Amino acid sequence: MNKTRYSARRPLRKMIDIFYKSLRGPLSRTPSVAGMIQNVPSEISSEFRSDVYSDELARCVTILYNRCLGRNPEEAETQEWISLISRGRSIVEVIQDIDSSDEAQLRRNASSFGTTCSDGEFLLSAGELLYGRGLTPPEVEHWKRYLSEQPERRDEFVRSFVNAHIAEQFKTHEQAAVSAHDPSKCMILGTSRFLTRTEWDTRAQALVTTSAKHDEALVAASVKQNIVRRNSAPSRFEHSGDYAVSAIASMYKGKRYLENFLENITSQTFFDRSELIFIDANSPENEEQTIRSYQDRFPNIIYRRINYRIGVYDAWNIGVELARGRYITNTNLDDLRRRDSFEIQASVLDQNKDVDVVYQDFFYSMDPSLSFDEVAAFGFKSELPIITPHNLLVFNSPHNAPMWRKELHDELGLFDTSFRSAGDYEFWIRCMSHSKRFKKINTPHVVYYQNPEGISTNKDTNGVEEVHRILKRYSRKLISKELLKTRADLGKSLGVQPAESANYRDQSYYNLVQQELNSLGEKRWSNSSEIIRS
Amino acid sequence: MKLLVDGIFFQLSSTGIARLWLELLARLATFPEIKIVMLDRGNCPIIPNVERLPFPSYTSTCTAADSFLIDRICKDLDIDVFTTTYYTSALTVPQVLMVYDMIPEILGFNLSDRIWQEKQIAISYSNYFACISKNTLSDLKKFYPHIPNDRMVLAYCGVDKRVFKKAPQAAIEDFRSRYGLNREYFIVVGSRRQHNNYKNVSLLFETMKMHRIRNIDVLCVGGEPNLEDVSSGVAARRLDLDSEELCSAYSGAIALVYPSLYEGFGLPVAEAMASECPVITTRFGSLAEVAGDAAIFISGHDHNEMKFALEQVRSPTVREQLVEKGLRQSALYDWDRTTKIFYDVISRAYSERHCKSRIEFCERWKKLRSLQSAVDVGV
Repeated sequence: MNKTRYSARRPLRKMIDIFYKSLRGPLSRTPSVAGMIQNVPSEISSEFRSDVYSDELARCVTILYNRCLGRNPEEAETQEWISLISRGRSIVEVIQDIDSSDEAQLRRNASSFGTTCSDGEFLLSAGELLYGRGLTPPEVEHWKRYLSEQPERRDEFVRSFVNAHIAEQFKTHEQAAVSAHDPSKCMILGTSRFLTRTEWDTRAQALVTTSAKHDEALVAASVKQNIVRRNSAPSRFEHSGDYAVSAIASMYKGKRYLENFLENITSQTFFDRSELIFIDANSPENEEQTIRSYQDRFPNIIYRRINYRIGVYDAWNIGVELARGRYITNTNLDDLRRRDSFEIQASVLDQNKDVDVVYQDFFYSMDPSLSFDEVAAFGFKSELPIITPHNLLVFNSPHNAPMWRKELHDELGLFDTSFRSAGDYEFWIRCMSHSKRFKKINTPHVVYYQNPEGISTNKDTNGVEEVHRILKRYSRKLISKELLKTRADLGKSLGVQPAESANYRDQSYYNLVQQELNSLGEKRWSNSSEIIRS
Repeated sequence: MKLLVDGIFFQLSSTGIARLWLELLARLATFPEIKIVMLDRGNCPIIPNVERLPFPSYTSTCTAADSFLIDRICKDLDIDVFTTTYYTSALTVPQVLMVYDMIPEILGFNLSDRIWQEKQIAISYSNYFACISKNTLSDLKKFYPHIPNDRMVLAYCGVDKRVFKKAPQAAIEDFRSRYGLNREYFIVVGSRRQHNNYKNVSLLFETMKMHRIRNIDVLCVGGEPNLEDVSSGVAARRLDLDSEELCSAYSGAIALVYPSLYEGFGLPVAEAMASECPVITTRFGSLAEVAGDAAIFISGHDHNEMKFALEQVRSPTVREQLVEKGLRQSALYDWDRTTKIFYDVISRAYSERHCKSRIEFCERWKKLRSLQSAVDVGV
């Protein structure tokens, strides 16, 4: 702070120091100015009185009025305070007088938003109102720590949000382009790392150098081999008659990937207990012909064409309704599965009756021509966590290839067709809000192709808006009530005294519980009865 | 008794701690009265009589929720005692914690990192502690003075004498020719740097560079994949070796150079001694205890002193003494004995599983841990 700010001449050091501390320090951390001056050492406050000039005092009164009452003092008011001080009232008492006045109290109540609710609840409401969406749990945590239960900070929060929003509206095209989505890179889910095109190319180069696998000639030979395999008389396929898995593929302009996709899915070890349902969303590329040729060999391939353009979730819903399997999985034309992918997922669902959805880590690919093993050799793998209500609000761990029980749809309904790219995400969150169980499989048996043209990765589509809509719908339901509590109320949940909970200011709620756990661990040994055996 | 072991460490790394558990579990699984189930979070080895159960990999997030998953398994499988290869914890069954070291606490790691917070949690929750050296035990007491003495036991790491013994000359020669180790070499084992460079192997490289020791190679086994930028003339190379090859590597070396500034045990020291390889090390952490009087000790901070040690270890008389003392010293470390101690301690935990005050503690603990999971926003 520039200490000459209050006066054209040399400032009174003690006075300015105290105000400096007041305005920057404890004052802004307590709802009341009076609270702050308890901390002023008495020898300073008594000395203080004698060396104050009246014009300096007048400035102090002005600062105080602005801070406590939000206005300048009337001349008569200033004179009255100066006169009181000259008759022996200490400045500390004056601060208390002004701060505890009815006017100050009135202003405190009027100027702060939602003082009757906790910071967490205020944030959820403010988020809905200002952001037009719900907040994510990390956002709640971040802003909660900023507000730190000082009502006046809520004003600052609202002000800074409005300013940021206005600045966003007036962003130049160049600025907007900088923050726009870049399809040449993507975040590796569950990590803080990005996979970039350059990184992919460098790794490809290294693989070519170290292994013959990526040698052009070999790739060509393998393609040739595949064609030979396809053209040669295939071994006869026999379906078991049991439909464990229904794989749904929504298709629009998929010709480029179709053959690889069909080979990939029909060679699943579990394909004789599965079916593949194509929903052709009025694609102009005549994929039907290729699919029909596979149908001759695989009677468990279903093809349904809709003669008008429908969204991906309309298509999935048609697939769900056609499905005969106990379990459903979505299969994207440009993704890849390891041969045992369906089998792994189905067996986990078979063995865990209480699990509703299974998902897994997956490999990223930036080259749709590679095989599963080739992509795996690049090693760009997600590190997905176990799903919790909080982390599911931040990212979609089931991602591109989960498998789920068909009966979920009987209970929770179909995919919401008002979404164009996040309808699956909405469904998983809906599952979570009904306490459905997710289970992570460690084996990465799926490849996700980072498609620069894919709809869910295209900034121009409604992806961001859809996520906001999801948050608006579910944040309140899924964010823990404990996270929204005031510190005093969290203290009650922890069973600690309110006096102790006053020390909670700078800690996350997580760390506060951590402290309590550690203290419980310590206390247990003072009770030696634990060694008494039953 | 049904014992659940969280195999988290196998997911994270394959260093000494993984070795410890391989040795321990292989032996523990031969006790007829114990049935062992291991949570496989990835890379869990196949061990006879140890059932592996697929379990979500550890991600350092949602750690309280992870405890609830462990607890669920405990209930589903009727588990009596839980133990873990690293710092995870259960919620209701008694837990025995293997404590390797207090390095993060002593060397000032950021203890608010989730993994170290979870170490606190595992210590606060556990009923018994098996410490791999006296030094680790006393460090544990220093940081957790409230833990009663009878809750902590000393369970030294062991040395597998069937593997680590003087390798026959033919095996040494075979090993050297296989890897082209034509010159004399010092051996360095495991990580060479770590947090604040506490592994301190740079002291060796710097000394060799400073004193122009150019006629000897440095063989680094395991550790960081990239070798330090060592000066020309210090020919260093790095290999990953299995136990048999490591034994040959020790037996063929001038000395194991292990200038670490802290260890919880220091397995390479004991294994080198068993393989009749002289050892140069410090007295930090457990090293003085594990090396006994059988090593050349250095301060770990002085290049001249290191240079002197490197010369001294080449003297035939010194070597002879070190080898003889080393064999005696390494005989103290025996996996069978460790396993017996560990078995005893899990048996004690088992006998307390219905203890009323423990159950009360767990009720409160579970409530708090549930609250912690509810306010966890880590993603």
